[in-house]
Amino acid sequence: VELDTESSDEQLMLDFRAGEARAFEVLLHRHRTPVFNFILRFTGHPARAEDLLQETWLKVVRRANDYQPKARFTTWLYTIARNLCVDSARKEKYRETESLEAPIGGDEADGAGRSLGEVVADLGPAPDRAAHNARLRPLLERALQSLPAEQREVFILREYSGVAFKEIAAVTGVPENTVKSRMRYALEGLRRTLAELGIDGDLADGGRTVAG
Amino acid sequence: MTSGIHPQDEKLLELAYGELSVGDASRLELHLKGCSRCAEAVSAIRRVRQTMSQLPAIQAPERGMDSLLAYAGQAARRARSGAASTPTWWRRTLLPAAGLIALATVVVVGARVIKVAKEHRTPMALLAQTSREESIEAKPSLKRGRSDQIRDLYAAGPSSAGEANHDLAGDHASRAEAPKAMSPPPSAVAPQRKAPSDDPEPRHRLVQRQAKRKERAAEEERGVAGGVAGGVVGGVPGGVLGGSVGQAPSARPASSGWNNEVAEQSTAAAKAKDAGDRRREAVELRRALATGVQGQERARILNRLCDALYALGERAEAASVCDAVVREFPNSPHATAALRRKALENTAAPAEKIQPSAPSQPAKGKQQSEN
Repeated sequence: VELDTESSDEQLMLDFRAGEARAFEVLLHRHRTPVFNFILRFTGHPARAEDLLQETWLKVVRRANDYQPKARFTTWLYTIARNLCVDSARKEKYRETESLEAPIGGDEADGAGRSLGEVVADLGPAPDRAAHNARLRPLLERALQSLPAEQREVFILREYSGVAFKEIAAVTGVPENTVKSRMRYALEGLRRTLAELGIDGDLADGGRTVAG
Repeated sequence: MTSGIHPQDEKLLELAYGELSVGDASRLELHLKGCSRCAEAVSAIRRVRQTMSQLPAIQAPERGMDSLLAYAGQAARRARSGAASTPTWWRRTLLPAAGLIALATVVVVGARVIKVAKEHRTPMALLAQTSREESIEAKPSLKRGRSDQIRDLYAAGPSSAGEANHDLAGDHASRAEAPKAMSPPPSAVAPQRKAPSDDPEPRHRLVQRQAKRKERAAEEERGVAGGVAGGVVGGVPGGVLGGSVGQAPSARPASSGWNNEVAEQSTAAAKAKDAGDRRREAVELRRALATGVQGQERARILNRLCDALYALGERAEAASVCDAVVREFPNSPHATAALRRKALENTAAPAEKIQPSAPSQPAKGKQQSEN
């Protein structure tokens, strides 16, 4: 089978179902990191996110024959990932507590191993922009984790995974209007939290942004 | 960010995320130029997005990638081979079905075979079945009448005393031996289980047939051995029992009669003992033995005779009788009582009389276990 790496997700999935292993590899490379970021920010727990990522792709393999080409591959993929996250959250009743005390941020090098309080205390005037960014990220993670799960998942899917509102509605099983409503609440909640942390939009404006 | 419900809130959101069509987006942008509130709302969304974009995408870990790809490769190969060979599917479905059909056939045929075997049971199988049932049912206290009947039918010489003992003593060893001795053919085992307990007529006939066969065997044996007591205590010096008891089998009344005879002589012996006439007691007990009494009753009488002989000072003969109890009824309460009596006599003064009531009254618990 002639495999075009520019093929659509849906075509690749059909190719894999027909026995083309390379198609799966392309899909994996294309979506692995976005899916991981969704799971990581949904669960707020790096180790669990890694397991859930693996499980998600195993399910993609196992359920390849269940995939209906009329649906978008990403909708199907994130539905699998999201359901696993929800199941995991149910099993881990203390997840919220653990994540509050767990190192924040996925990047083990920046700010990991410290609690939110420690990070906030250290967030003084930064002589160096990179160092300031390193301190900012855990706060942003914290702001994200402060959202209710239903708002957080919508925000993550849209903001970091690039899933359209209509697709998110399919993934989460709620009407599109509800998704948009949750998104608005999520944005409002983040704005307030960021303001409380002393991080407002001005930081992101022009040359003064910590993002540079 | 708006706090109220602006009619265009959703559209503003879509604009901020680039989900509006080009036409809709252009129209809204025009609106924003003239509406500070909507402009501020869109601006707030963009600021939050800008800030939150500081969170970089975290690279997914490489761990597990190889195994995942290997697993996917395997699945892909299966998909290819599965598509090429549909018979595999048929085999997968049909094989268990064929197995189930074969199993069902075996069960049905087996059931029919058992049924046929039950209808055409061999005499040997039925005999074995009867013997097994009787050995289990031979609880004297519960099945006294039947036990007596069997005892009547089975009454035989000394060599068959053990067999009779299997039926009457009810000890575990003899129960275990009984079916082994009959050794029914394997095919007869299944029908045996379905003993027609609600069909007493054929069973009764079988018992009679079995009893007749045993009687014939006993008669043949008597012809060779020369008598019940002779066989049992034939080795006793002086033939303690040989004289009076040895003649008993040939002179034995009809099987249904000796039960009453034994009872009468046993009562007479007890009366003689109460009167202090141990000699008379010994004579009556010997007569009881001469009837050919078997089983536990024989054991009790032998023990009483042993006791009487010790009381008379006939120690050697008493010891021989006690030995006969031990030999004929090994591992039974009677044997224990006989051994205990011998031991007591050996340690006590020869002329001393020891617990006259002991011989006929074994330990209570043991008596219960017998019954």
